[in-house]
Amino acid sequence: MLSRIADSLFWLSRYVERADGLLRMLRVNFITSLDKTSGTDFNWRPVLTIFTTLNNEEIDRIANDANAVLQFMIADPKNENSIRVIVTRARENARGMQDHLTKEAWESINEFYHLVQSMDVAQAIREDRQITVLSDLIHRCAHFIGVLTVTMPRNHGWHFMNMGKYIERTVQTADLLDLKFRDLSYDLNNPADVPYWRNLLLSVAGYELYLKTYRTGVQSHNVIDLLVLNMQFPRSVLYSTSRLYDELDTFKPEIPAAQFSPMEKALGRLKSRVEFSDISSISTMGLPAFLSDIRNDTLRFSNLLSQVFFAYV
Amino acid sequence: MIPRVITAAEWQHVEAGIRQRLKALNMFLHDIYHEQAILKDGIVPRDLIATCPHFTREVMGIDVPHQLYVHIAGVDLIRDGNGGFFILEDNLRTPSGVSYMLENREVTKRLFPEMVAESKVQGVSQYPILLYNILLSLTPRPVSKPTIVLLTPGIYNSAYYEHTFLARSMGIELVEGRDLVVDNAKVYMKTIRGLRQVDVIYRRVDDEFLDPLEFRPDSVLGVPGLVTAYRKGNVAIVNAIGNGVADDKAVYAYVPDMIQYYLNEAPILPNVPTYRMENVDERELVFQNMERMVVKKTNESGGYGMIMGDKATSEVLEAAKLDILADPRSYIAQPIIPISTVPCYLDGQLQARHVDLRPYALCGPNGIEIVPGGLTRVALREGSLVVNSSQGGGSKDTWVLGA
Repeated sequence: MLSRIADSLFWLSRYVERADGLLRMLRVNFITSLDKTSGTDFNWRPVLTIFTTLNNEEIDRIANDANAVLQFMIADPKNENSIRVIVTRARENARGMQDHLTKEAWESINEFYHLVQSMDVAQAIREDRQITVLSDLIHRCAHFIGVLTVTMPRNHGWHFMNMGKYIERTVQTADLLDLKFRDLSYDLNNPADVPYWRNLLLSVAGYELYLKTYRTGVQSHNVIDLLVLNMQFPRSVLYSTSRLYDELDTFKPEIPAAQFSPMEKALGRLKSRVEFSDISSISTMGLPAFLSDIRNDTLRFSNLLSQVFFAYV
Repeated sequence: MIPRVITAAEWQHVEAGIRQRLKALNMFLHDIYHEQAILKDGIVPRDLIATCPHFTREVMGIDVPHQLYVHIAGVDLIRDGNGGFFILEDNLRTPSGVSYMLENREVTKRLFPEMVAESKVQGVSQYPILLYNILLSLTPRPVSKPTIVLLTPGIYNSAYYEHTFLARSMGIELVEGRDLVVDNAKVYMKTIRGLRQVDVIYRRVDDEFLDPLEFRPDSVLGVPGLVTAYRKGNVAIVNAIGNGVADDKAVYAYVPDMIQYYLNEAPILPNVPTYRMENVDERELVFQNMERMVVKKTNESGGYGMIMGDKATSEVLEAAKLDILADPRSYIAQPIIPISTVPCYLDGQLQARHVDLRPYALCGPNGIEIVPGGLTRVALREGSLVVNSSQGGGSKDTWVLGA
C-alpha cells in the first residue's frame, strides 16, 4: 500500500471520529444550556478553551451565546476545528484515494461533505432547529462508520483507519475529562453528584453504562474509572489504547524490527501507563499530570507512526 | 441515451484505416527520434518538425520497448454529408474519455437489454484487460509480477474520475508524482513497507510536467529523474514521451504522406483537407474564404483556440488574420464540413445533433486492437459543430453491430 494512501485513510477516519466527538459534545452542552433553572447562564468558556484556538477576548464575546457558539463550531470556515472544516478535510483525503474506498464509503463521506457545505446553520438557528441539525450530523458520522464496518476489506487500510480512530478517541476522552475536572480545580474528592457529570457522560454516550455500573462511592472516582479504566466502555482510554495496540500488532510481521520496535515501545508505554493505574495512583500523581502524560505519549506514538508509514517526501 | 449505430462493414473499413494510420505514425515517431529518414528524404519539411513545440529533443535516440510509441490512441473521425469517414485528429498523447465509452455501454445495456442482444452489439468491456496486458508486456524487468502504476496529476485534474476508474478496473495502483522517487536511475514508489520498484507507468500527466529536471522545472506533478530512468530502460512509460510531434495539427497534414512513405500503401481513411498557414498560396485561399473555414491553433486541444468562420463576426475574423500573419506556424485552417448528425432525445423530443467518433486503439507487441465502438461525442447545442466536452459537448454509446 502506498504511504500516501495509508496516510489519507488514517486521517479520513481520524477526522470523522473528531467530528463525531465534537458533535456529541455540542449537542449535550446545547441541551444543557437550555436549563435556566440554576439562575446562571450556561458558560461555554471551557468548551471554547479546549476545542478552539480563540483567545480570551474572543471567547468572552460568545461564551454566553449558545447560538453563536454553534454557528462558530459547526459552520465557520475560518475555525480550523469547525465541523465544516473537519468534514471537508476528511472528504479531501477520501477524494485522493477513491479507488481504495468502497463506493458506498466514498458516497457516504461525499454526501456528508455536501450536506455540511450546503447547510444554512444560521437559518436553522433562526428556526430553532439546532438539535435537529446536530442530530442529523451525528447520524452522518454513524452512517459513515457503519458503512466502513460493513463494506471495507480488513486489510492494511482498515488497520490504518482504526489507528486514526483510536488515537483521536484517546486524545478526545482525555480532553473531555480535563474539561469537566478543570471546573472543580481537579479535586478528585469533590462532592459533585451525578447531575454534574451527566453532561460529560452523555457527551461520550456513557451515561447509561455509568448508571448501570456505578451506584455508590465518590462519583468523580467513578467517572474516572469509566472514562479511563473501564474495558467495557468503547470510549475509555484503556479500551482505545488496547485496540490501538492490537491494530499496530497486525503490522509486526511486515515491518523490520528496527522500525517496529520504537512504535511498539511507545505504545506499550502508553497502554501500561493506563492499564496499571488506579484511582489512588492517579490521585497521587494528580489528574492534570496523568492526562498530560497520556496526551504526550499518544502524540509521540502518532509521530512515530507517521515517520515509519506515511513519510513519502 | 439513444445509441449511435455503425454497421459491421463500416466498422471494418474504419478499423483497417486506423490500424494502417497508427502503424505509420508509430514508424514515424521511431524515425523522427532516431534516423529522421523522412526528413532527409524531404517528405516532411524539416522546419515543420524543428518548430513543433512537442518535438522533444530530450528523448532523441532512446529505444523504447518493442519500438512502440503509441500504445493508446484516440483517433477522432467525422462523417461528411455523403457518409464518408474522415480522420479529424490523432490523439497520441494521453487521450481521455474511454471511461465514458465503458460507462455509456453499461447504461444502454440497462435501458435496452433486448436490443443490445438481438443486434449482436459487439462488446467493449474487454478494454481494461487488453490495456493491462499491453502494460504487462512492456516491463523491463523479467519478474513474474511487475509493478504497474497509473500516474495521475491528482484530484484537481478534470479526468481524475477516469484515472480512478481505469486503475480500479485494471487492479493497478493509482499514484501521484509525490508517491514516486527515482534512485540510481530506477523508479520506486513509497509504500508502507518501504520503497518498491516500479516497472511500467501508464501516465496521464503531460510530457512537460513529467520530470522537472528535464522539462518544466516548476512542475510538482512529476518525478525528478524520471526521464533518466526511462532513458536507461529501467521503466516503461505509456504513451511514450514526445508523441506530441506526431499529433500536432500541422504535422497531421502529412500523415497520408507518411502512410505512403513507410508502408507504401494508399491511405484507407482520408484526412480532412488542411491548409498550412505558412504556405502563402494556401493562406491567401483561406483568407478569401474565411467564412467557410475553421481556424485552429496547432497546439491546443479541447476545442480551445478554435474559430468557426461561419459563426464568428467579421472583427474576430480580421483579428484572426492578424494573429495568423504574426505566427503562421501556429495555425491551420480546414473547410467547415457539414458533419453528420444522429438523433438525440433532448427536452422530451428527438432532435438531430452533430457528432464525431473517437474509437480507442491499443497497440501492443502483438499488433493493434481497436475496441469495436468508441466515444460518440455530441455537440449538444443545436447547429453547433463543436463536440468537445470542455465546450459543452455530451456523449453517447456507440454500437458496432455484429456481422
